[in-house]
Amino acid sequence: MKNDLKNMEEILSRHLPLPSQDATEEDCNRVLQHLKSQADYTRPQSYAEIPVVSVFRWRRFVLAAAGVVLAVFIGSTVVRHPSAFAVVASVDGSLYRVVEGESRAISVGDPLAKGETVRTNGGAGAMLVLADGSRVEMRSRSELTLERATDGVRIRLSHGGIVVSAAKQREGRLHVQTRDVTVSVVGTVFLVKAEEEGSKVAVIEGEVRVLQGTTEQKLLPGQQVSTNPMMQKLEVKEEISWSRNAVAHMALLQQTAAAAATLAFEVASIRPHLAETTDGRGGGGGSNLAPNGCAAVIPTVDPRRLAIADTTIWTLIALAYPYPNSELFSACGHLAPLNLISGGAGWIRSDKWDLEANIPESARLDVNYRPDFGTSVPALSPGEAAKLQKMMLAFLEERFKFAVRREMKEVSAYALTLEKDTSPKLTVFPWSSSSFGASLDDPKFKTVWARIPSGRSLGEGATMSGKDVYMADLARLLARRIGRPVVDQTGFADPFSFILVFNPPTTNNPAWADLPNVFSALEKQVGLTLQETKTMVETWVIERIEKPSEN
Amino acid sequence: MAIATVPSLRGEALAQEFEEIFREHGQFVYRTAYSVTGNRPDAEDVLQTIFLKLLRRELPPNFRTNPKAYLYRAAVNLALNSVRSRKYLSPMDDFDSLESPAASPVSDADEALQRLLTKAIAQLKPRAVEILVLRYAHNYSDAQIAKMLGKSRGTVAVTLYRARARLKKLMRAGETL
Repeated sequence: MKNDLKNMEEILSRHLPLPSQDATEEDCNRVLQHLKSQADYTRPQSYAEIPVVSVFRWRRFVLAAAGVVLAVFIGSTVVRHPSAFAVVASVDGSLYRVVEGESRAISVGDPLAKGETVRTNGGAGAMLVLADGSRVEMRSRSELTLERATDGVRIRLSHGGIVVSAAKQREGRLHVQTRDVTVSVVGTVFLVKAEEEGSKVAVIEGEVRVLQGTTEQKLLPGQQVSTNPMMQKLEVKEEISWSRNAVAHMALLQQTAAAAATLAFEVASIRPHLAETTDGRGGGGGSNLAPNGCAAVIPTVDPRRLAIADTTIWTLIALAYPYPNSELFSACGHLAPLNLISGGAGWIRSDKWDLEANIPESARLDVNYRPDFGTSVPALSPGEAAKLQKMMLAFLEERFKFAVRREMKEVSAYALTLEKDTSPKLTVFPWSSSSFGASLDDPKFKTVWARIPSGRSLGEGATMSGKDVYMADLARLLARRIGRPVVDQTGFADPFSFILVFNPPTTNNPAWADLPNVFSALEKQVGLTLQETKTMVETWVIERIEKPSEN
Repeated sequence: MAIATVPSLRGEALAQEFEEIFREHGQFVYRTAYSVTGNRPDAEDVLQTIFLKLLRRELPPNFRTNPKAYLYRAAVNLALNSVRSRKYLSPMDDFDSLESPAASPVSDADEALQRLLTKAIAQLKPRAVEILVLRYAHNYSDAQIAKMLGKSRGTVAVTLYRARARLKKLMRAGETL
């Protein structure tokens, strides 16, 4: 073969895989027929399927709603076949019933009787719904048999993978049996994989009992077990990545895992702020209370300590809101124009408080201090910020009896997009009032630009700029200016720098009247576009909040 | 991914437009996917995924300006993902293959070489694979490739040269494993 390698031209010409024309036509026709049978040309755009970057929690509720719709559909399907053991709810590709060694195609809505064996082909997948409402999603190239067990239902998985969303069993259990393991549940979501070298079980929600030989063990969400240590080790999220509902399963897994490990401050004290309070490490918070109830604060964050002085509870609530934000401590200012949080008594926006909290060792924060115009501000990665958000929420719930009603709302938003294979550009808009000068070569620009710390985004007046920032930072700045959520759909993951000069849409300053609007400025100065879209957001309606008791 | 709805089309008009696009580009997408994945189920998967997005009206803004280029790039990217994720898949019988024997039987040596080539291609950058597949699977000239992908002929020629050199290296490394 080595000689062959000398001539790559020939190898590529002769050995690049090419399908026969018959196979091409056959497969293309099959896909077209399948797609046409699935099509609904009149339904509106499904916003649930819009990839919303970094707003995983928002998605969870959309998917939950989609799950309800699916459940209703499945329920009605089973009712049409009251005597069926199971019914085919959906098929991607081809699903076969195996009868006396022969495969016979079956389609959506077909009932399956006790003892029947079904299998999916390569590139296919299917969803079965059992009479009790349990859903079984089959991976491609899987085969299973549905059986009645003495105490419930048994799915015998010969090979392949399934994700089972087991309905709450009124009596008995649902079992999944492979060659070397039996899984028993009473109502949960889990994955079972049967391979040549062994079986694997992974739990997404609830509790699962796994029986291997005479050994029984209990698995909780996120846990998995394989019968052969030589089997490839993958995280649960990778194991379920093939599922059509992988995102929903992952959201469920995150939710249940988070519930299992509640994050909370170790010790926390909250006191009314006194003007003369001086604490050397008291957080350095200023007294900048905006009309919207947000207090501009730069807290002290250590790995084990959080201190925020001179702040409002409204600001702390914004800190608890699951907003994707690397600049966590400006959360209130960013959230207020979007009206994502509402309700609550007036005092939460006016009374000032000092918070001191110790962070448990188990939730120790990885804090970086970023130089910022002669001072330094705490910077947290998104994961660390999420930990702090959870601890803050738990604190508010405990000390302020804080309760919110979470609602998913479809709101008008903008999608930030970038032409494929391009990068955002750094340009200077020639405007006499701009501190950036006239061009990138202007000494004025060089002086000003050198002063901006790396990783910092700024938005003041008619200019907005960022140096080595991420697209999420720009999206957040834009959202604040425009007053609508901005969804980053650029897919651009690298840090970049930008300067934007525009006439802010929410102001009416005659000095800025001649400047381009934000849409035009973004396109011409940075190379990005904003398009109207809709998105689902989680909103909080404060239902209860009380002043805290003594510490 | 950016989303754009197709507000002017509904019902029959949309169904007709979808079918027209499929008939015009479906086989091109399938052959592209097959040449990267080397098997029918994966190629079918890629084809279905791409056109399902089209059906759901998840069209990027630049789709209409050059549908063929968009579909082609999507096919290459999805096919590469498919090959690269194979290491996570268990070795399984392929029911399709069992049911319909390969249309063009190849010798063991040829098959081994083809597998080696597929593996090596999966390690190239998507942009290189785009050019490589257009040349060797679709027999495009440098000028045609440049026009379709919006690149200069020089870029195409250099990319092809580098891709072949890299493939040779990767295949030699693969052989010795």
